[in-house]
Amino acid sequence: MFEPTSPDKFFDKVQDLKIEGTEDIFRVYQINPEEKKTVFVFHHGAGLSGLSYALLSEHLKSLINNQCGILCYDCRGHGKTQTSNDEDLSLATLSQDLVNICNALYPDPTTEFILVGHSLGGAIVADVASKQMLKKIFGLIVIDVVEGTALESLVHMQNVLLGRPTSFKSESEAIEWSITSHTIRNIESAKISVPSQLRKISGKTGDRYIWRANLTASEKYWEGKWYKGLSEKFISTKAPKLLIIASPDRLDKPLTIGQMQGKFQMEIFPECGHLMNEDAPDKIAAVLNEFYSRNKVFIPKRFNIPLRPSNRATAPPKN
Amino acid sequence: MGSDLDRQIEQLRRCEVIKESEVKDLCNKAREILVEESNVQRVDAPVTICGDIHGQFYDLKELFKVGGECPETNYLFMGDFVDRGFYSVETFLLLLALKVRYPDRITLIRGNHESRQITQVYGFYDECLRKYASVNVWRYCCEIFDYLSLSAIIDDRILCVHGGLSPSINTLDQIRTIDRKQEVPHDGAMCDLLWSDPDEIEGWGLSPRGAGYLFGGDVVESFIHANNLELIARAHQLVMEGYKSMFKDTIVTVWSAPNYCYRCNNVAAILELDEHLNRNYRIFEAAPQEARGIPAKKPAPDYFL
Repeated sequence: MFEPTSPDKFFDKVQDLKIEGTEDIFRVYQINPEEKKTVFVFHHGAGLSGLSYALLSEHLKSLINNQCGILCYDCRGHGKTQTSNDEDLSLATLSQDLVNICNALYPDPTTEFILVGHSLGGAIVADVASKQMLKKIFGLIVIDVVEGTALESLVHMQNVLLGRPTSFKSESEAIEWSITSHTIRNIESAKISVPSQLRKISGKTGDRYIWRANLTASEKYWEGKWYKGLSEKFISTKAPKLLIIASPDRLDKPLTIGQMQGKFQMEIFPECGHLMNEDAPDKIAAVLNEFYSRNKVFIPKRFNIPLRPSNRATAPPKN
Repeated sequence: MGSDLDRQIEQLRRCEVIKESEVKDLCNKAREILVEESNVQRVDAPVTICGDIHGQFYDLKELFKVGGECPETNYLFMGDFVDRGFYSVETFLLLLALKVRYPDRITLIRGNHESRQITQVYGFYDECLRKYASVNVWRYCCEIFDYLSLSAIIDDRILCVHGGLSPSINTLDQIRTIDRKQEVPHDGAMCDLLWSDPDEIEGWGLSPRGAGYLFGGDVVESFIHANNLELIARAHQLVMEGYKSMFKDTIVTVWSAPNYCYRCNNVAAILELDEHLNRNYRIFEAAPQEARGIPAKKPAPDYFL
């Protein structure tokens, strides 16, 4: 029941994209890969891969009616991507990678991007959007990462990483672990995404699967580099913004103020764990599609108000 | 009953919940009163206008210290009684009990948080479940939310509404014809009244909130003119200074939750109107920490990268 699922059917095109002038080859997954006016670009969180958006992409595809493109990719040091320096997980490099990939795949300067990032990916897309590193940014969507809360949590992070098994006998065993440890709350998604987080090594005792990304080594980037200034970057971005989180308690002070001043849209899914886009891909896809439709064209809706004889509320049923 | 109700009010004033059966009775009585109210409920000055409270019970007590107790002071609360703060249950039930006891001395209109959908994710639902071990109290309260009026008009000159204006609405009579007894819809006039914000734009704009609209000074001017008003008072947006006047003093935001969410460090305000509608803003700060016994802060989530 924990066998891996092939990711192929979820995307129209999967390729290894070499960025010109570099040795970097990124694994990219696309839906509607031909030029589209608007493209959703997804950046995954640390340790994960582009396939953590596979189910979400499939749901979104069914909603957007071929109006938009969808792009997911394995970021540097993750999944099937190979770069000249897999250890360089600095914010500047990861942001530049996103820009390079977008420009290579969608050279038309009128393409509008909806940038979506989960966790570390949220910090990357907020960085790209606030610095306007792409020509046209249609929207900025951040999933379950908030600067204040992230910085508070980082002290526990090494312990969380140490609590993970270091290797597995098989991909299925890793998938099983992700479900029984409640890391992912959706087995269908775990079967697609978990294998891409692993790397096979062969030893005397046979094959083992270890984590592909070396998160422990990335600690130097965590605090000062990835998350500092995230709330300010998010709020100061001019494009329409959406924050998707599992609980409103996770908001820090700048976002609590910004939210109560009506500066961005916020959607909460308490049933999700941290891997929201894997736990509730259908619901998140629906929210993304509404965000796109709502911001695409602005027409104030004028509803006809039916005239009623009374100006009182309807009387309650007698019981 | 009178003495029962007075006892319940005293209990709620001490931030103690009343029994589930008492909540049920209270809501039944409140419904009989609220159903008679207009969507544009008439209120006579003098009156004190208050904005969002969000379950900050001890800060509501501060508000009453500054503005005077009900019924001595005539109050108008512009919604968002619940969610986010630790005492939504006590806050809403106290205001509702005062409404039943002194129906002509307190007016409650609906905010966007007085909704089943919103309260399920912003705290009120969980709080009811925690304090009563059942969702019945949440159900009774949500039913009352549907009966709350959508706006109030003071001496025919000052319109009070939680959020703001709607492109579907040009006149007060149009507000009066809305069938309000329902969950807050996702769009349309009723949604806009509870969700929209004024902004430095011309005409109407898309709201970054994902519901309601932004509206500019020209929209306010023509609405004020068409309905022979002098002011629109609204809440809905956190103002660090407690209140904010816009568009040559034709619209004001009043915010009454000091140190919102126990972390924003803002002051709060109420707007006192005398019998001639002269305006006096009173600023107040959060209750001192020792007076309000904050539950322990939730630990940081054990994730993140």
